[in-house]
Amino acid sequence: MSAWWIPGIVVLLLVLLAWLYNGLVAARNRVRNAWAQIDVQLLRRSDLIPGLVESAKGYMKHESGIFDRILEARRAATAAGADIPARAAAEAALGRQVQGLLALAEAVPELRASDTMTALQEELATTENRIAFARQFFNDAVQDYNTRIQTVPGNLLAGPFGFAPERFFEVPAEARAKPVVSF
Amino acid sequence: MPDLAAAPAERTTFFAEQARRRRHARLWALLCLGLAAGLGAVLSTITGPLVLLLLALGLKLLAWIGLAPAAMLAALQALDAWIGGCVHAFFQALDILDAQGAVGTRAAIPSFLHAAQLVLPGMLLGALIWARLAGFQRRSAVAAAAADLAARAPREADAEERQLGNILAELSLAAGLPTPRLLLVDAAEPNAAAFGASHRDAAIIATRGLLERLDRRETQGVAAHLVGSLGGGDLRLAAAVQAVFGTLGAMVLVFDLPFRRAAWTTLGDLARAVLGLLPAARAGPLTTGLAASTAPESMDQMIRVMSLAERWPPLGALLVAPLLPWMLLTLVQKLLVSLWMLFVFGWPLGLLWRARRYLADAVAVQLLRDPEALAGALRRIDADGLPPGGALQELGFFHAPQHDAAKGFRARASMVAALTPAPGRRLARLAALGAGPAPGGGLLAGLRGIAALPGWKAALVVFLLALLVPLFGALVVMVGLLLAGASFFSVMGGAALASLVLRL
Repeated sequence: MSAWWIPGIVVLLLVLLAWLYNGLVAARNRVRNAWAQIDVQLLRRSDLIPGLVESAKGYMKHESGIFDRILEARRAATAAGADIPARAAAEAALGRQVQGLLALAEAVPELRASDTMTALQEELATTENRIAFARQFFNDAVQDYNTRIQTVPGNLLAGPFGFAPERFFEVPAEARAKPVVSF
Repeated sequence: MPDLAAAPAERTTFFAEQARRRRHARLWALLCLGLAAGLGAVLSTITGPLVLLLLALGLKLLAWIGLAPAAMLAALQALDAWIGGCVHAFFQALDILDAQGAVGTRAAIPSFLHAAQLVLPGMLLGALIWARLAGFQRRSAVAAAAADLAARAPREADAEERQLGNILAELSLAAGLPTPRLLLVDAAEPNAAAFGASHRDAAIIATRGLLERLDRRETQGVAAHLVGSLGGGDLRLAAAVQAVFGTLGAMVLVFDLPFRRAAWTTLGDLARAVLGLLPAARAGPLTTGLAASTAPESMDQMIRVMSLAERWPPLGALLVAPLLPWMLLTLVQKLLVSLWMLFVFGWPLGLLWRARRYLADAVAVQLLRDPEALAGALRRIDADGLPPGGALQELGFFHAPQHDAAKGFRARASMVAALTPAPGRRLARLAALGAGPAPGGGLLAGLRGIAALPGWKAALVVFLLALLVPLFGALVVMVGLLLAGASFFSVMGGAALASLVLRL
């Protein structure tokens, strides 16, 4: 009997390793792609805010404080960049300010009836939903990736090849609300 | 008497529900595949020899023209020997059975298996047509559905349509899929459907009625079901199912060729679809053409020709007599196809599609984390209908009208079993996933209803129900016998055709 099965097992092991490694890389790329999506959606909200402020300002002269707070929160969110926990906190604060403005705008009859405001409201609602869903997808991807690199056999590869665990995009407890906005 | 029907359903997670429905769907899909392959094998007893006949004629023609005559004749001889071997094995098996009776069944199996090779060319052709038709259905799905339902692009200025576009963009983010296109139908029935080639190239078609009746949250529920459905691969499955019906139509289309001019048009379209040359706009005529060949009306022309025998007794009968075997074969194969569609294939297909609907519901709950959104939508659109469209288009829709199931029986003969579960049952499953309580319904509630009746009434109902059991059993036996008989005739006809090939 020849020892033909030794190279056979080695090849099998190599194939298995390659398959595992590719799976880890795919999971990490999914996390990165999901983060890019969140970033796109956050930017989209950021771009919507000046328009919202402009169209609301004319009707709400006595409420000028909220506009300053919104613009300040927007600046803070932009400054946080790709630092995930800081960004999450800043974006949550911005989201709260926007919700506050919408609540105030609801109380102004002529504003509630105006077409631009309805359109803007829908835009903001969908943006908030998109952020929430993108976050959900991101967190699911992070969970999948972290589980893979922390369990056998992924953890055997994670160390030598430098797969570090990713952090969740967590929302502070006070800002937790349903992703669904209905009118 | 306590109201048992209102008891809360056992809670479950959407992952557990998805795994369960996926398991069910896989089981039913396997059964459907087996049934389709079985009927394909029986139909191939005719198609197989026909393909061989064409092959032999082609070889003969090529040899006659002078294209490598020696090689062609050698190939023809090899083909002859192969067919001869198969036909010989078949008659040998029959001889064994004849001589030994039922005891000889085992001894006859190897010979039968040898003879069964004769259906291989037909099976291969059928599989090829099926695969190519499924590809064509996928390519043309959106265009065909849009044309059938008179769908249009959404209007930018319309707030509701813009909102639905936004909802689709949101949900595709949640599912990690590319955003499907949106098309709208100006119909009052609240409904929506997913069509397309795959999750990368899909369209959601919604009616105006849906937008007008549902609020944003409920619309999100419906959209999440559809996005979950197309993300789970339902579009490919729908194309595969449609292609099964198309392939069956194609296999019995051969019989119509001498009698129906429309059959030639359909054959031309089919050939172009198989070669990948048919434009998507011809998808509708091809589907109806193939379905027409399985309908009993396709025999009308043949019956008219046969009536010549009565009109001009001596001469007509002489003219028509050679057609009799052909007519008998046609009758048998078409009977086989319609019986199979009505009684055999519809049920597992319905169960498969219903399992996929429950699966998409569970995925929708996963995407939205809000079971009440979908439940609210289901409650709202419970009793309204489907917009007009082809019968098989029902495969794409979110919701099918329950009260229409009996009405169009003949028109949608291939779809006896409902493809969508009753809203009450979907609501019950959603309640198990965390939505509000569902109205009582289904089999269990019915049984409880009987238990609540006063004594003699309950006894009467149970007696009548018990009467149904032997009736149902008799129906199953009759259908089974008919199918077996038709299959047997088909096989004999195929053997006769094969020995005809041999004499060529």
